[in-house]
Amino acid sequence: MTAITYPITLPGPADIAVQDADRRAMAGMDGAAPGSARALELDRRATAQLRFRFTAVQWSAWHVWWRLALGDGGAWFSAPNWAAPWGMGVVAQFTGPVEVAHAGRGLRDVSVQAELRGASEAPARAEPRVPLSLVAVDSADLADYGAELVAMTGLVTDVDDVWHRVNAAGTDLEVLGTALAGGSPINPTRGSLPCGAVQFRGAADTTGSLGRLGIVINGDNNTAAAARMAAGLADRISLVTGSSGAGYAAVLPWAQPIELVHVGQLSMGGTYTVVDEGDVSAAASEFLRLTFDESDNIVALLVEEGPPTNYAGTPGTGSARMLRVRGISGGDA
Amino acid sequence: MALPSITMPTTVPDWRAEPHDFTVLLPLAQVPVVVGAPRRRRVATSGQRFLVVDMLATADQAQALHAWVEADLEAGTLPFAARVLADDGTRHWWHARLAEMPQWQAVAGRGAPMWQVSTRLRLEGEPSATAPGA
Repeated sequence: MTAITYPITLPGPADIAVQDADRRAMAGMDGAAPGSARALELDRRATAQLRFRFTAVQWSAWHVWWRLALGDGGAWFSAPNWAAPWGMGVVAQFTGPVEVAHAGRGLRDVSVQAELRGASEAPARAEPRVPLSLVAVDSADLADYGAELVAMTGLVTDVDDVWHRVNAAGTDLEVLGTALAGGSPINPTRGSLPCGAVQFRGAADTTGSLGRLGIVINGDNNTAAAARMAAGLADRISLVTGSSGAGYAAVLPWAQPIELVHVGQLSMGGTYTVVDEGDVSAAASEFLRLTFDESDNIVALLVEEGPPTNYAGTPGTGSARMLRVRGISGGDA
Repeated sequence: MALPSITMPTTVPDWRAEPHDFTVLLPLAQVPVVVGAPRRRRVATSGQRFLVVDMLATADQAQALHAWVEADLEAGTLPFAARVLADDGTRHWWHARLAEMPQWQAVAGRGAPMWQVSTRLRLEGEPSATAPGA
């Protein structure tokens, strides 16, 4: 069963017409001879004409989900909350072009044809794919789609350079920040200099030596942030660990303006020490301290973490990873 | 013609026949012969007809009907005794097959959606005023 689920924050179809597929071999049904039929397929199948009605923001979010999660609409997905003739829940795949029509008042009617399958089995109610509250798309996708990021379970996207996130009720999107300064996320300061990507290193250049990274946002100070990391408690915990796998990019919104960010490997044994230049090494229990200017009014972090490498940057060892943290401005506070 | 023993779920309403949407079929065919032109021969003992029908079903009724088509009718391959509500309100039982698989159109309403179910039945023989076995 597919692990991709329809976003719970988006409305389902406003209109659905289901045509059961004819899985029979028929003879004599033109009327002349006595008719007969036999079944050809066991799996249930149907086609459906779907019509959604979205606000502009919902349409943008749906379209990003369609492009990124479904791979331009190609993947199967579960929609446990859609009504179907056989009860609640369908497993579906879009099979036709997406037709968008303006319905007035800023609404859009989105029509698309789909194939439905597996009615005999309840669709899997997939757990969120990531432990972060937001998602995460591959770095390659980020490069492809620029600032448009999506979360499957809590969703952040931008519409005309205005960032939105799911509201507290989970019913709609709300404005996260106003237009981005210059259209780009803002680099933090490390020590006294602007900071780009930083390499985190495990205690030794051996397989899987670098553990999971944690992010503490607006910690009281270095000591408090270090204590939380040592206890394995961070505001957000990285997806990446081990010696193989992909990197990710994620948007992490925060309720208050972000001015201080600490990043380090969780649960290290020694005394956590801030290092303001060069690599961040677990051999010396080092961690990273980043600051944003109060005037930037940072309302979310854009975090990009690379796949596991060794110290020299060769993929697949798991003793090092590159990490880059930037801020998304909410405009003038 | 005896009605099939398979009957529609009792919880499902009767099919409503569209009074003007039916097709009467000829029980005759052009039968090729060894020598000479094909000749018209009777190939069925009684006339048949296609009938366009629909029903308005609640979510539960739609679920029961869908399960019945899949399980009892074996994905729509078996004949069944159809309850058809004629235009004058009388109920008839017909020997029927699904000529087309049902189409389900969600109908907005209060609470759970209702379904407009439409299909085309292939009817054989003559209608009966009584249920099979009655």
